[in-house]
Amino acid sequence: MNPSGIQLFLKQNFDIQTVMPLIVVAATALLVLLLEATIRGKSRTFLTAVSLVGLGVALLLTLFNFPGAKQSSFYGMVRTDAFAQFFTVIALAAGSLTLLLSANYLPKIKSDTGEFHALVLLAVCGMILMAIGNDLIVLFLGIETMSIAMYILCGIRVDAEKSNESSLKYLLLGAFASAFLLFGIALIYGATGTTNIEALINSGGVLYGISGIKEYQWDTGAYQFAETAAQYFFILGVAFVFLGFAFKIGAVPFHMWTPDVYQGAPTSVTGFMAVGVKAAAFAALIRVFLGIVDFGDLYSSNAIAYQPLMDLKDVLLGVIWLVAVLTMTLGNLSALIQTNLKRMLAFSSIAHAGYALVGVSVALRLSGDDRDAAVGAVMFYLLAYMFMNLGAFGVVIMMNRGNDEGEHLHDYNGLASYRPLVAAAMAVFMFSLAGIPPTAGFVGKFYIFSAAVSAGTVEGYGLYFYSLAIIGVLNSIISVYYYLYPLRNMYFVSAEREHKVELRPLMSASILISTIFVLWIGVMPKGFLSRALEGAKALFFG
Amino acid sequence: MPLELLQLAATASQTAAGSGLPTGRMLIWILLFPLIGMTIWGILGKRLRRETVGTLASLAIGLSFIFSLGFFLAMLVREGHGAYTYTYYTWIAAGKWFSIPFGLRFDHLSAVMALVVTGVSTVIHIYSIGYMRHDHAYWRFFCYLNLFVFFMLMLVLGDNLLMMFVGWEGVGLCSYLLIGFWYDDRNHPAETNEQGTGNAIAGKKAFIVNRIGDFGFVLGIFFIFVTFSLMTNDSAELQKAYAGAAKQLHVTDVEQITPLKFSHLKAIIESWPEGSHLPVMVLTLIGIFLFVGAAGKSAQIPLYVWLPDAMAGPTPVSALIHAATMVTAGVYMVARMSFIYVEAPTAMMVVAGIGALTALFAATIGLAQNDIKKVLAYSTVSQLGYMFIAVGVGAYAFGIFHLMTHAFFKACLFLGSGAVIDFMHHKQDIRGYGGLRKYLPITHITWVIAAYAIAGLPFLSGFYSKDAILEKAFEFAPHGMHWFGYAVFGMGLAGAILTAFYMTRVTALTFWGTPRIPEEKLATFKKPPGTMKAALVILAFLAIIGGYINIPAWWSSDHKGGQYFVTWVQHWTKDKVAEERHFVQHGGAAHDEKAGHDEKAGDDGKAQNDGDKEAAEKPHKEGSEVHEGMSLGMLAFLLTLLSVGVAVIGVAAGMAKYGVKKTGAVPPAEGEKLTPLHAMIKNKYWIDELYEGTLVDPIHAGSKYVLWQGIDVFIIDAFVDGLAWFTLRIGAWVRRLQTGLIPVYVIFMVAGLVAMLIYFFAYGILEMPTFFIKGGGK
Amino acid sequence: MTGQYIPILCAAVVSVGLAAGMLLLSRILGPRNLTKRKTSTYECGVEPTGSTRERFPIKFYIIAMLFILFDIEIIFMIPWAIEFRQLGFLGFIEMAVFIGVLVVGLVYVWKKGALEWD
Repeated sequence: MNPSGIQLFLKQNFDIQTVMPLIVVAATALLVLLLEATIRGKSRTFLTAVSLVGLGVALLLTLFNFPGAKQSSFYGMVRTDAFAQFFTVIALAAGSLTLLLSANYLPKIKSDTGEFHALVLLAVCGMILMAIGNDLIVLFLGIETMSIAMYILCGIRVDAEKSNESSLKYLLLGAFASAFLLFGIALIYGATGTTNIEALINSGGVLYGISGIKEYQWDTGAYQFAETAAQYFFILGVAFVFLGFAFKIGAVPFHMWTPDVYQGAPTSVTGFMAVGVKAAAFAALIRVFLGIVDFGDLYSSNAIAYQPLMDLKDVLLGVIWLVAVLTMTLGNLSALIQTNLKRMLAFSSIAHAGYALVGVSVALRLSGDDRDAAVGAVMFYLLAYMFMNLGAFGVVIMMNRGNDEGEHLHDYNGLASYRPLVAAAMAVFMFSLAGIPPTAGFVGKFYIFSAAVSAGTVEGYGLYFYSLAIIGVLNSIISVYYYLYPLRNMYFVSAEREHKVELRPLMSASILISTIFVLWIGVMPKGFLSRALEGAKALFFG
Repeated sequence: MPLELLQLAATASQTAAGSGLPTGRMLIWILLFPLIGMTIWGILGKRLRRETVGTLASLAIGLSFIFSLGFFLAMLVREGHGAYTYTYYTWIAAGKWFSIPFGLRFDHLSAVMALVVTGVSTVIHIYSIGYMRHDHAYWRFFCYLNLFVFFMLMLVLGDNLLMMFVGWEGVGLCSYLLIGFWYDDRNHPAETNEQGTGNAIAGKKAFIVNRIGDFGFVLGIFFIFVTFSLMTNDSAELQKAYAGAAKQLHVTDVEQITPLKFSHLKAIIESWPEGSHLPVMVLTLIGIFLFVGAAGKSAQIPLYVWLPDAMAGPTPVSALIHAATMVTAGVYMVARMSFIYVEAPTAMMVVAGIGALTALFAATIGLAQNDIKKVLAYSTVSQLGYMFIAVGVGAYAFGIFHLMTHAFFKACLFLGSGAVIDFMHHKQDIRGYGGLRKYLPITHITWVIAAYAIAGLPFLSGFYSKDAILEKAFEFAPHGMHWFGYAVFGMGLAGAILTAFYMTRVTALTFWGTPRIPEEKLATFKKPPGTMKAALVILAFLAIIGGYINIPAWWSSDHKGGQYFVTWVQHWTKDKVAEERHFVQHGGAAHDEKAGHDEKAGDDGKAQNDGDKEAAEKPHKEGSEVHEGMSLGMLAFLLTLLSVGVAVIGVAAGMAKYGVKKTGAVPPAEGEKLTPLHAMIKNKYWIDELYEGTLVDPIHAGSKYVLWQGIDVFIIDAFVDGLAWFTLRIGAWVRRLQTGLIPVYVIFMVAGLVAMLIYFFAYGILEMPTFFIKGGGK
Repeated sequence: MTGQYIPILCAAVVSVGLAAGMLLLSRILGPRNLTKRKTSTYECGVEPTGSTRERFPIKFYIIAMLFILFDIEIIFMIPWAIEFRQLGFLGFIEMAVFIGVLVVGLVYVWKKGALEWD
């Protein structure tokens, strides 16, 4: 094969450019692993630097050299559209911030291993795969790549029992969820004959009886298109796949692992899990579910003389509605009574997944620009959430004094008097998490709830979505209580003793970046929102 | 006329860049300097040296002043003296018909105000460097003071009612902060109760009383919007008026017209179609509501009670905020909205009437006060009354004129009192002073100049402005009711006598005679620093010359009448009296022209109408028969003589009772028996007690027993607490599920999955409707 | 409705039922006469020497895992080798990348000392 032929072939089928960020991150991971193994006695900062360079290059490639449009490659296995771009950016940014946060934290908890960097990079690889995956198998691959790295990251404090427990629990339950996910994928494949999401959507007809199987009707004596078992398989598959994703985003009732795992894991990993894993899982969830539920529409437009088994949209809507409500409420109620800040943030991250689910459920019933707005709101929210949550975890890390000390709420007493800037940053994050303007969290919640309200105007769904918006707002109010609690301690309670809070450069840089973005997104959300809307628009086929 | 003006402004701003004149865009710098200053002192002030903070804060305001002056000069040299306006961005927008720009307007009226505000502020900042030299919260003081100037300039320069309102509230906030500046003051334990120290209570009182006024102001704004916005009112007249206004303002689309913008509102009202009447009732209502706001801010009856208490703040604050600038905001607002008032004579009557009552009433209280700052406070209330007389009788430009001269001499008096208080170790009772001229010579001279200026003795600034106001009041005849004008004039005149009297009294008791505390003790007291003296001298100088920019018409030799100031301001204000006089003049009143100086009769006041030909050509409803048979010039001259007379009488009476020789005439000490009249005046007519008894206490009791302990505690709190308790219970229950056991977690997951599947299939097979959804997607 | 799957369901039910039934029947009907010898572990007739639940050094697991990892490498390589001509240059590159990744892993494992028994 001559070189130009190779190039052509590559271009047509394996457009390397489309997965360039992924390749860069993966290569960096390998490089870091090699360096860690071969160079001894070197500072870990060097590894951090190498990793950050890798992530930075990938970020630049994503931001400025992303194929964009609706480009599929690798035989339709990946799709590098604006939606994928948005979530790739979230994954890369989350990874970078996590590495910055960990640089000074890992020595403090005596887990200063070089593998940490490689594992974070590999987890980022998985997240990117989930963002660009256009095939259930690729999504599964992404989830597993990400999860296995996360399992190890949770247990990276080998001498801490809690960390081990966290890792083991996550592994066992994660394997359980993965099994369901894989089973679901298999069922869907069995029902439709494909795992490609695009093909799935276009094969709606197959599902609804165009499989060609006609069945003899005993009562009328005629042959009709059968209500095939494939439909049941498909619905079963959808439910299982939903379980798989819901586990990763920590939605009730598949959330039980989160507090234990989040608390046991090193704090920077917890932050990474709360934002990165969640965002990636949402990317996959949105791509799969908002796509395949369009079957109903396809059915009606194809005018096949057959009654579908059910309007999948409505069923999923009901499920996600309930899951969103439970997730928000349970997350907030549980966070309400925590006295350990890290655990509180863990529970609150459940609640935040609930808010994002509100947007997903809303998007299911909307169409056109309204749907784009709802999906864009979820994407925007996840971006905002990344910065505010990682920022908050960053402050928790800064306050950490080795082991698990410094995480209790009373450790924050009077912080404002001796570390005013740290306290101010924490205040910004807490305000943002509680959804108080002018912070990113407020804007995110605002878009999501306004999408819910606009969906309420759809005929027959008023009560449904208005109630969702109201429950969401009530939950936000509950959350204000526990988010402002640390602020009360920081600003209004005097310190019994001043804790040593070191302002190390990398960690401070991470918190500073988060603060800037939280305020920037909060004050000038337009640019970020328009990128999210672009992504949402790119998501829908045809 | 405004049409030409706007045209000129448009062309001028185009050519401005080429001719080296400043552009409107630079206006923001006038506001930015104080804002930057305030930000810096607020953040870094604690770490900077006192001198640095004080000097740089003064410099910030000084730069604002220089910019204002630059714009003013640019206006002067500019063709047609066009105003500087600039719209920076759309501040608030909602729908098609509601759009509020963030724009600044440096026109004839706001130029004067900006110059007065920044000029006096600069001087007082310089003074404060010395006055506050011992205070530990030095930086906080300058931070608030700079912030105040920022908001005041926003109030003055904002080109629409909402920006004015923001400035209005902002200065109120700064006033509150500065009155309570010494919030931890323990010098007056008697005034301290569970609500805070005396100073803090005074701050709160000012804030709350102002809220009452603001309520009126806001209602006024609402009424303006509802009446003059096409969004809420699409009557044919208004649409015609909009079309006319669009033409006048040179905008292509009526949608660009915002009724809350001063120039636009003015254009709408001026373009009101011929043959249809303006909604006078609504305009009257608007005028009265706006005046309620003005009365709150400018301490008029019945909302004046906060101002005397506001003297709890540091003296420079009293001078700047509670004498020279903020309290005059109400006058400025009425002058700014003059185009509404001239159409609503009843509203004018209310303004003038309340102004006259206040002028007299406050002056009587001033007679018997023993706290040097309280005397000045009541005098301020009284002088503000004069300003409202002026704007009430339609002589807006004269109101602004008095505002300016008052800013000079009252600031000078307050700063002088500050020097005295500083010298006397913060003793404020004039019964403990006496004979201070020997120790504070410069303070004494400046004080006397300012006191005579306020008393209205000739050749000092107060004379020119007050005299003119009384003259206009005399000619005022709303609805053809001359008696009203005469009554206002009479009350003003009576107030003038009292003013002259109490100023002489306080001057004599403070500076003249022999000291009432041992001289050897006095000799050890520290003299005020140079910065304070410098400020006093500057202001005294201004108090002398400030009046000469607008000498009475009958003084001058030419037809311009030397009324430069009033002519200038009348570019914006529509001077009703001027119109009437003009009409009288054309109606055949005799001309008695004698050029000359001093006591010779002069021109007939034609000058006022210089800028208002257009208005004069419109026939006017009333006033044609005013003062027939008598020369206006002669009348003006006689009225001047009269006011000089009363000023002299007042001073003379004061000298007679408290003068140099009469060292024994010290007011009775606390606890001594007073005559009933004296007691009544000294206790300020028990107005504060009246308010306490009739308004404050019932509201307080109602709030405490009904709203707080009744509704709040028993109903709302119980509900909220119950909810919180309930929520926490659920939270605790939920936590118990979190056992940490993997099998339990798995069971929950499976249970969730099973529930989901049951739901799926139940929905599909049994066609069971999902809860809530009516008629699903099928 | 789903008629064509009913036989499968029948088969599933019958097979599960048969297995469950036999276990159940033997449990119910069978005599239970437990002796020590009967319950002890069967080790090819030799006397059991201790508990079966013994702890092994972790090295065994590591070696086993590494073995599996590199074993699977072969599973990928054999089909590639068979189809080498069809896959061509691109296939070669892909396999090179795959092996490269594994080599990095091997280097890591080696340097970490996981291959040393002591």
